[in-house]
Amino acid sequence: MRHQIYSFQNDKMSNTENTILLIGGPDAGKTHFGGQLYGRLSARTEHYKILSSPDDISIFEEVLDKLNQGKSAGHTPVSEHRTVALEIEDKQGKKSIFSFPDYGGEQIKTIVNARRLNKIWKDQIDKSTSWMVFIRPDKLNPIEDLVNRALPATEILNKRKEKGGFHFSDSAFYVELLQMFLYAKGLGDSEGTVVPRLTIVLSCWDLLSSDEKKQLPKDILKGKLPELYSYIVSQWEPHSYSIIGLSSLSKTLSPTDSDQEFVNQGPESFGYIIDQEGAEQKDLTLSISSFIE
Amino acid sequence: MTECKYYNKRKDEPVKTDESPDDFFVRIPWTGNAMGLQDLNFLSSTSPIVLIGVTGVASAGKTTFLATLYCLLRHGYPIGDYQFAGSKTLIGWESIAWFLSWSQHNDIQFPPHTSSNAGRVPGLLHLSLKDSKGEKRELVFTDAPGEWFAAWITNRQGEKSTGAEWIHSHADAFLLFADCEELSGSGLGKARQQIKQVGDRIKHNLDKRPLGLIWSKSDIPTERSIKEQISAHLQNSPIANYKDFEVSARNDEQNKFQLQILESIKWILHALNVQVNAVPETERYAPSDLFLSKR
Repeated sequence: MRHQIYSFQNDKMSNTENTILLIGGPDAGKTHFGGQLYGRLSARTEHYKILSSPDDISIFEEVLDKLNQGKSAGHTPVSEHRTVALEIEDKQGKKSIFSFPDYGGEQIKTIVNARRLNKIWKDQIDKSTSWMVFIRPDKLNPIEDLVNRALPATEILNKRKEKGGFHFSDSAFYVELLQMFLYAKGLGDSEGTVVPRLTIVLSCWDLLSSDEKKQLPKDILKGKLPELYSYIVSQWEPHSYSIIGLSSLSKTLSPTDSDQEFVNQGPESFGYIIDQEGAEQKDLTLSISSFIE
Repeated sequence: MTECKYYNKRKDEPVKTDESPDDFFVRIPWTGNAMGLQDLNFLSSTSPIVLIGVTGVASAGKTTFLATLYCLLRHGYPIGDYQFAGSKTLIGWESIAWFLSWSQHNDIQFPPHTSSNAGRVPGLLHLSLKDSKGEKRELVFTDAPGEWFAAWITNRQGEKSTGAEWIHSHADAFLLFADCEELSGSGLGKARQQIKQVGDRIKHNLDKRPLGLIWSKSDIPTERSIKEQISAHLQNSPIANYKDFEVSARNDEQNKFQLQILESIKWILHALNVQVNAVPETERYAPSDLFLSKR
């Protein structure tokens, strides 16, 4: 396992107010987002631009190589944990650090199951002033219990043997994750949270049904993870959280077969976010704007 | 940790640790399972808690009540003006709710009997709620085996009654369970007797603490006269805060029995809120005095 943190010198860090930490489980779309965001930032044509290229951009290069061939990028190995700090500025010259971690999303599951965080995570959490939590709504397991589906007859119920295979519902999993991260940052839960600011990113938005796509991102979260939604609304102060949709590639790519349209138009022509008001924005760099403005 | 009755049930949980043993870790101080007394001290040291004693004999539906309460909250149902704002015992809640959830194999069942070997303090389930004004309430529910209350009826100071005594002396409010399945069948005599007896024990030194009577399994019809007998017995001496609720894990078309579970908690919170003293007005208060107006 590699433990490497590439970051800017401290004097540069002190000039900035925002350090953004990206949090997401396996298959949540962090890698594709990272590649696409880096591409947009370094193109310097969008709202946010990169200030100087970091020493090691291999984690983005691998993704951009694949995307330029019209293919999807591979899965980040479970034990990998590298971080690239991108120093960015907006059109007014306001600077921020976007701390892009490259880790196997399984680490997020391990944190909740083992109930502990290692030093790399602790440092990342301490430094961060904003969290982006990636959740893939099309992969969530809907809760089906006695509230939304009637119980069978008592005679049938009484014959049942003890059932096994307990696991957290998705909603409870994310609530526990956020409770743990707030604790690790040394924050109590009796006061409303202002810092870190929180953005819930509903990724792979293009895979939602056409009816779902007509809804606001916050209504999708409320519908699919009501417990998490209640928790966020209760724990974070109203202007300190946002819920947005994201499609990094606009479509699904295959890891082996090239998508010619994607190759022809280039990765920068694909991807969009759905802002809090439900408007589609082509500028992927705006996904971090709620932290900065 | 090993004393916690829920702990062993979770040993099938895969715990992956790639790190070497000497690595630094931040450990999370709550286990997520139902709490014991030490955890309660930890919780109550940071914010005032409302301890709700869930009482009644075995199989009366106490754990199913709690599981249904949690299921409703995780579907986004509010309790009056309050909504879910976190929990330090999410694994405990999810474990009991798991039995009332449909899985791939369509297996669903009532939660198993709460075991009585757990000792002196019941399993404690924690819930944070927040109202629209931003006011938070920390609720803790006892999930105790019914045998404790059966022993408590017989001998309040007996060895097996310490758990029930602990609940009685510490709880801020009580829910007493009356099992409609028993009251409508051959177990009527014994069930009625036990409900009255547990009720009598709770009423001793009750003071202003709310006592809610929960008619559990209310989808099973029970004769009105039997319910009136029990209700009359409980109120044969005045109770400052008393109300009864017809609840069930099964909803029917006319009766929203599940939602009555939320109503019972809403009633407790309301009863406790009105007991808070109003802010006293100072004698020298004068609206025209800007300095005093700032109070």
